[in-house]
Amino acid sequence: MSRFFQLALLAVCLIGCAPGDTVVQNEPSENKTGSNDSITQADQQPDQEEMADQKEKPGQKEMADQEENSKQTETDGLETFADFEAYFKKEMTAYMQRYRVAPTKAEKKKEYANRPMIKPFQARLTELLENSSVSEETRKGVQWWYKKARVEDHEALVLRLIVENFPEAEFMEEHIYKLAYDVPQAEAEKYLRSILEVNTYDTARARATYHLRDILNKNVKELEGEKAEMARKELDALKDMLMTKHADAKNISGISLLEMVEGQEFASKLQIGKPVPDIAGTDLDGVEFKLSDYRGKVTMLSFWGFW
Amino acid sequence: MSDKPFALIGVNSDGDREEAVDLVKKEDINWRSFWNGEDGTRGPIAIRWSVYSWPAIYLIDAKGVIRYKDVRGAELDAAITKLMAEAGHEVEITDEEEEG
Repeated sequence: MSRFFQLALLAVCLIGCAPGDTVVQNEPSENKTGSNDSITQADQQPDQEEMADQKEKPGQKEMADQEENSKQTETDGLETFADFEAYFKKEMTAYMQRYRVAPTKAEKKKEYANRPMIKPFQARLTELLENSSVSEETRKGVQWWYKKARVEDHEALVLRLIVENFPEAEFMEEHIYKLAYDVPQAEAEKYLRSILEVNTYDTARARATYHLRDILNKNVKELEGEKAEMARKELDALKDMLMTKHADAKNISGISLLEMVEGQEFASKLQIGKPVPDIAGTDLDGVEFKLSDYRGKVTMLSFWGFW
Repeated sequence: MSDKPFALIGVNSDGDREEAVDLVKKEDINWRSFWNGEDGTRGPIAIRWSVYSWPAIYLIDAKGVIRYKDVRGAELDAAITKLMAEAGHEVEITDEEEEG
């Protein structure tokens, strides 16, 4: 990845981490003064970011005190995702302890402002990711990084890095649904197509197919003429793909992708002005009947219960 | 309105069928209902029809076209009257009829 692209991503993240958006899950639960603290933290981030990003130029940033110096030395040895994970686990435990024993509110506030953050390590983690190959270790590593980034509210950036570096990986199946939520739709569409181009794993392909169809389905209403027709053709082709190749595929919550598509198609029929779909079932006495048995009558269909 | 071409069809979402049958008798409910199954409000018909708020109402005209959704009270009365008129039947709806 080019230096320029890294900086561009960095800029996106800094925008994404505007103070008002900052989440405070890292904060130990007894602290109720979170929002102010998180603003302070977010305001400090650009400096930390710069430090991490330019770490290859030693000595250009003055360390605040001895403790910071020793921490820097300690993190120099982190070479794998597992190293980072272990380091952060240790740091987090120590921070929780410091927070607990801090005697005053002001001191707790100070501890919170200095809580361990992963964002300053973004450049190093990115480098690590780019030098990783598809493996179980990488799978675990990116899962961990994504979760950490989500707490610090820059998960979209991490997701982009994962997708750009490993579109072919089997573990991509764990990240596909996040594309729909974490990045803008047009970008998600591009990534999903790139996954479908190179990924050969059934579950990943099925989920990418489903979400690509879902995005196109949302957009098709705004298209007209030839473009609309092409989009509809692709929607049909994607559904066909789910039916013929991925009929048993499920999403991350275990729900059938094909059933979800069919449910959405059915729901789109329930519009005012459209013919009512039939219902075939049994009444409370167990006698079979159909809604269409009452065709020719004005019908009020009421979903009710005694509850 | 039993002599008019009007039907009230329910989808009953009480998970306990026996209990629902008892209550139908007790409350003297005279409309026919599909049973939504043991999962109650999460049963197959309700899921298919994306019913998340209860009760949900669809008004279907004599040609089988969905014309109104989730209308209530006076609005519902007016809608039924309109659809009946379209089908060539002048009706006046009283609350008693609507309830039962």
